[in-house]
Amino acid sequence: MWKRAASLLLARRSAVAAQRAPAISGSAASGLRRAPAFFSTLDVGQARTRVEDVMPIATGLEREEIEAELQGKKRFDMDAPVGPFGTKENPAIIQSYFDKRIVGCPGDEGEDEHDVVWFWLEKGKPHECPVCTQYFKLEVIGNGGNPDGHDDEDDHHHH
Amino acid sequence: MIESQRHSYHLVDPSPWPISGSLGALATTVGGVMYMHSFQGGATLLSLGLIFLLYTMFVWWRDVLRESTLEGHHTKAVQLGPRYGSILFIVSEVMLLFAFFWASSHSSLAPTVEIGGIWPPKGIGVLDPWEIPLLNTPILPSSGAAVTWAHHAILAGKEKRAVYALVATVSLALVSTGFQGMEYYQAPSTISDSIYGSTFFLATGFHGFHVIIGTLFLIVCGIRQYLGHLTKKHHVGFEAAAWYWHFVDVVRLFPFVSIYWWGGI
Amino acid sequence: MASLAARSGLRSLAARARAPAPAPAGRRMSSSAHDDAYETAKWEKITIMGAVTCTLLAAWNLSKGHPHYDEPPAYPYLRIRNKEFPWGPNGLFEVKHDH
Repeated sequence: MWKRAASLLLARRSAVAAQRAPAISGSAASGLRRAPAFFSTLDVGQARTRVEDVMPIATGLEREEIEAELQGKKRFDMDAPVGPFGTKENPAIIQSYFDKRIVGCPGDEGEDEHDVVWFWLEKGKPHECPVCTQYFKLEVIGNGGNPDGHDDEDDHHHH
Repeated sequence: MIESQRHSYHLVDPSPWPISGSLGALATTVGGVMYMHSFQGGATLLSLGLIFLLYTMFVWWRDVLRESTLEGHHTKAVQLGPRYGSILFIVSEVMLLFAFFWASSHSSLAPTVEIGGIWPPKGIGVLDPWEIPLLNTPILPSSGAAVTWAHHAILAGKEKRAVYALVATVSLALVSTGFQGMEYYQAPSTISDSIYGSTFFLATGFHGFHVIIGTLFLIVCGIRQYLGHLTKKHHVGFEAAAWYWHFVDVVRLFPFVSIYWWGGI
Repeated sequence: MASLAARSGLRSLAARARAPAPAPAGRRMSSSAHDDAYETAKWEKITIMGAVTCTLLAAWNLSKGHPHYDEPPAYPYLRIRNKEFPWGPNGLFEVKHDH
């Protein structure tokens, strides 16, 4: 599960991005009772409904999830990032809450796929995949800092 | 840090219930063995163990309800866990039944000379399958229909009807259990009457036990429905109970055919 | 017999697939609410029919009184007691009939 949460960058053409919705549940769950797609294309055409109309007793994270869904956004970033093959001029942008993130590169589409190569992608240090030379750059969208917490500071530094 | 949780999973808070459940299970098993071998203190330990186990179940599941319905931790991703878990649990129960049917078939298809070379063994009085067993057999599927009724009522947002439907489901189940108990009392043979008794009572006994568990699960669902916990979009607990119930009632057909009907001829 | 059990597995799989199929999809189409109302009414009727059948069967059954069985000869494989039960000589559901 954390494999999914970490970045497995699929360097596919962006047209494939449209298939994002079913990809979430994983192919294994197809045909069985899989969770509903995060994007509800069926809501298009209806006026924007409130959470109360969908599930009146929703609360907490579940509520945030439904709220975001009604607005067409996603509350939780659970998908692997998708995008065109990253180059020096046009690097593949990986978002991160912290200053560094583990990224896995599976190569280009089709025959250019390779076994996943894992690496830390750090802020200000764009990385090139040693196998296929795909170029990655980190974009910090949160508070930054070390993902391990502040253990690079003194032990007795209290908050 | 809930406010910045970026994943949709639920990392549960530390809880004492797993260890208390384990201790309860230990006490139950050890106490059970002690009791059956007439050791002093066996009965006490067994009862304490059972009480502890039941208490753990109550508080653990109460915590799950609190975390899901009252605190909203059960996002879509989290719901998959109980869903798949319930399915896998039911599959494991099917395997258990497979074992019982195998045992029954092993002894009944080739009856040994010690029991007279016939099945049922010589001297075994067999229940007429067309009496109580036949009566019990449509009760459970009717109960299954009732739980389907309840499900559609929940999906349709008809909360009150759903409560009635669950009451019907549970009532039919209780009637069925009552009749099964009656049947056990009237039965001419007991579990210690040769391998026939063993396989018959083990299979029907486990089925009955599962009916009771399913009934309890459905009662809890009924209470939750009455309290308004179950919504038309999110009612994983109810679905798990309904799946379990369908499993129980479909399974009922198999002992009826093979053990009651075929096994008695 | 093994196939019976295998079929039991398949059957419960089918029952699970069949029965909860309307359930988890969480459809948001407004037409499904109408379907659900229809389905609810349908299953309510089926339940009531089932309950009536069971009541009739029960009445018929219970009015007959329960059959009596002759005491079988004391075969060694009947009433096995390699060890006494901790609660006494009788089984849990064993009742000594005197009629």
